[in-house]
Amino acid sequence: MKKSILIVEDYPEAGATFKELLELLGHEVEWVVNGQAAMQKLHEGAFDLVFMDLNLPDMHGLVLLKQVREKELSPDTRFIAVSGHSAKDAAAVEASRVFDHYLEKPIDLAVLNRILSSTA
Amino acid sequence: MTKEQQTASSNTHWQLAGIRHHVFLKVFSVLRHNLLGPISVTRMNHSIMRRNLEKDDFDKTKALARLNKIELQLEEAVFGIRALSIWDETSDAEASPEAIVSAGLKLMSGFLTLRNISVERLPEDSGVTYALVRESPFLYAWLGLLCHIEDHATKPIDLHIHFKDPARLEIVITQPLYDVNAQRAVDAPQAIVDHAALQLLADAAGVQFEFSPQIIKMGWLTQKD
Repeated sequence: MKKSILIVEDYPEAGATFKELLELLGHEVEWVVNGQAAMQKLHEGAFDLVFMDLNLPDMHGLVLLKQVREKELSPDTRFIAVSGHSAKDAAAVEASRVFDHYLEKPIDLAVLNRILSSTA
Repeated sequence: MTKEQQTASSNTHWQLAGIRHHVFLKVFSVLRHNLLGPISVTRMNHSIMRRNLEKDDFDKTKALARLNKIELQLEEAVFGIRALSIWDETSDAEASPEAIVSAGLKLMSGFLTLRNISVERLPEDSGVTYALVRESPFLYAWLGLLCHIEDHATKPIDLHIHFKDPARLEIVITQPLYDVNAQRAVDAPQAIVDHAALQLLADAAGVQFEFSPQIIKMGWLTQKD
């Protein structure tokens, strides 16, 4: 089923390629490069899923998610942290606690598909 | 050198090695994250190519363009792996203090955020020339200082970082007027990088730290001094 997806990723090659991959899988995808632009997009409309890099140039992904929750934006959206941090790192442990899912880089297509198929 | 002096020198060597090891392990996860970036993109490009091939959707021009992208990402990964030599304290590589300060802040940004420490890098005067310093010991000293601040911050703080001149960095510590993270006050972990540890890192890098309650100064000698 086609999902509406927002990617928040500052590394251009990663953002562009991830967008292309998700579009190839049949989804509608938008991509922004920082936290402020992500907030703007979430104000404008709802997404089924948001894939968010943790190390953003203007704010940490954890801070961005906190602001989204405080403003009660997109309550039905699933937020997925995407990071190269090992799942045992402090940032990853915290992200696993507050995000709906933690996706470790390099992204495993099978894991990605499971996340996509488990989203209503 | 007397036997006592040899023992003292050996002790200092191992203490410094232990502190540097701690600092390195602190940022290791970030280095890992950064190195995985290009590998992750390569893997996604590989998945896209495989999927297109499986669908019999093969366009030679597009495939070559994608292979070029993969090659660039692999080059970036190789560059990142080679750049790991900076962590070898015997490396003679040199860099501008300004660049090392930026690199250190980037490596520590996630940890500082988690500890409710915000960083404001004040703009430098344009046209200032920074004399090069030995990159590895300087980076260890700078990261050691950031670890020290992180270890000792018991409440949310703002760091205002500014080069007072090409050989002196000043960090002014203030408390935010409004703290959005106040409810996430964190437990202070056991401080590992204490003043004695910082002194060892400073001596090895040729820098000096000066501490007062709200200002930390980091100075170093340049070739002109």
